[in-house]
Amino acid sequence: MDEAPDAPDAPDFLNEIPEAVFGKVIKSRTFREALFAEHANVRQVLDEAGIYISRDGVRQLEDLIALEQNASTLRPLDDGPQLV
Amino acid sequence: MAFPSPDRLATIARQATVTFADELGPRSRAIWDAMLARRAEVSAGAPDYLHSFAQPIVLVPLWAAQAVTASGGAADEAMVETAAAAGAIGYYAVRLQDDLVDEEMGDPGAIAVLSSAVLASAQSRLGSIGLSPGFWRWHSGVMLRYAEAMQFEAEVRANPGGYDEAAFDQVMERSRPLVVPGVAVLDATGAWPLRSDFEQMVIAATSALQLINDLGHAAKDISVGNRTWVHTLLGVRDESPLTRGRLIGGMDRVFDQIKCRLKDVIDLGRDLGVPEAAGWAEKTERAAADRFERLLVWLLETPPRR
Repeated sequence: MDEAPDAPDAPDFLNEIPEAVFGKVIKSRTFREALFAEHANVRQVLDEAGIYISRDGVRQLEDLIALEQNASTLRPLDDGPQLV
Repeated sequence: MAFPSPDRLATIARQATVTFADELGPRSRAIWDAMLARRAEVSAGAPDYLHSFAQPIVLVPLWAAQAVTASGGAADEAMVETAAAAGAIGYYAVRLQDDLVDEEMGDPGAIAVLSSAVLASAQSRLGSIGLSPGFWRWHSGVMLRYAEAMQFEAEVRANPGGYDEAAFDQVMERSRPLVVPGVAVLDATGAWPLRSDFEQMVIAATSALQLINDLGHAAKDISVGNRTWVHTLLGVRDESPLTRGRLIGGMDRVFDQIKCRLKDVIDLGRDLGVPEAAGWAEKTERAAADRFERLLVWLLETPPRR
């Protein structure tokens, strides 16, 4: 019996999001509020910011925006000394 | 008058809680140790009283003493140390209750009995600095509002629609006991008129810390059915999920509120002649901004879980 193929590695999401988008999200409140607003038109927001990415990139960004945040994924922020 | 340094007060607070634990009988000690073990599960090491996001338990009596000095009065070193030690022990009385009410940790009957005894012990220590009947009347009001706020929070956090700023301010009454050791220093030195501004300053500090904490726990809170004002600010309503989009798009609104409360600390700190409180607020804002940016980067670079 053939062995099941290895599951593909999870994508490195940073590489999937163009640096232009990444940098703008970090630096510009106006941009991130527009991009992450409810029912935002991602393509339009990017166009208005002068950022042009592929249709696949836009879809990945839309996926990221809609992705439900689960409790375990925020754990890295809880690491640190014992707070009182 | 030279006051103890924050480092010295943190050491005194740690020593006071260790010494206090040794006074407990074996059954009470087991409950106490279990509470400390739960804290250690969240994060290792000794309690860091001087971390940017730690409740300013040991700083509150120091800020009060500095306000007294700035107003022309005199507070002494021993008084500040006693108030800091009492604050550290009193904090754990509230911690025991909080773990039970928030996370159903511990046997309710045993926690109720032990936390009352711990609180009485903290009050007894505080009373040794010489407090007026007026202080105790005020203290009684603080504790009654604390009890009401704990019940109120249990109600509103179960509301799927979250809650608003007015409700948040009402919830924050549960943090008012933190101001008690500082107000005790004001009372013992005849600086009672500073109380109102001092209380406002400390509550502004604890409110900012609560928002920082609630942002960090936004996803965890949803998973256990708790809602906070932060969820409302993030746009999470009713059964709508907390998405990365809502987190990234709404964090600025939360950060605005954090900055607004820290500005109150800075302004009131300057009015009271306590630049150290302003310094604490500026340091906390820088740490919050750093955390905010790290959270943004992390949300963008971590592979989504499908």
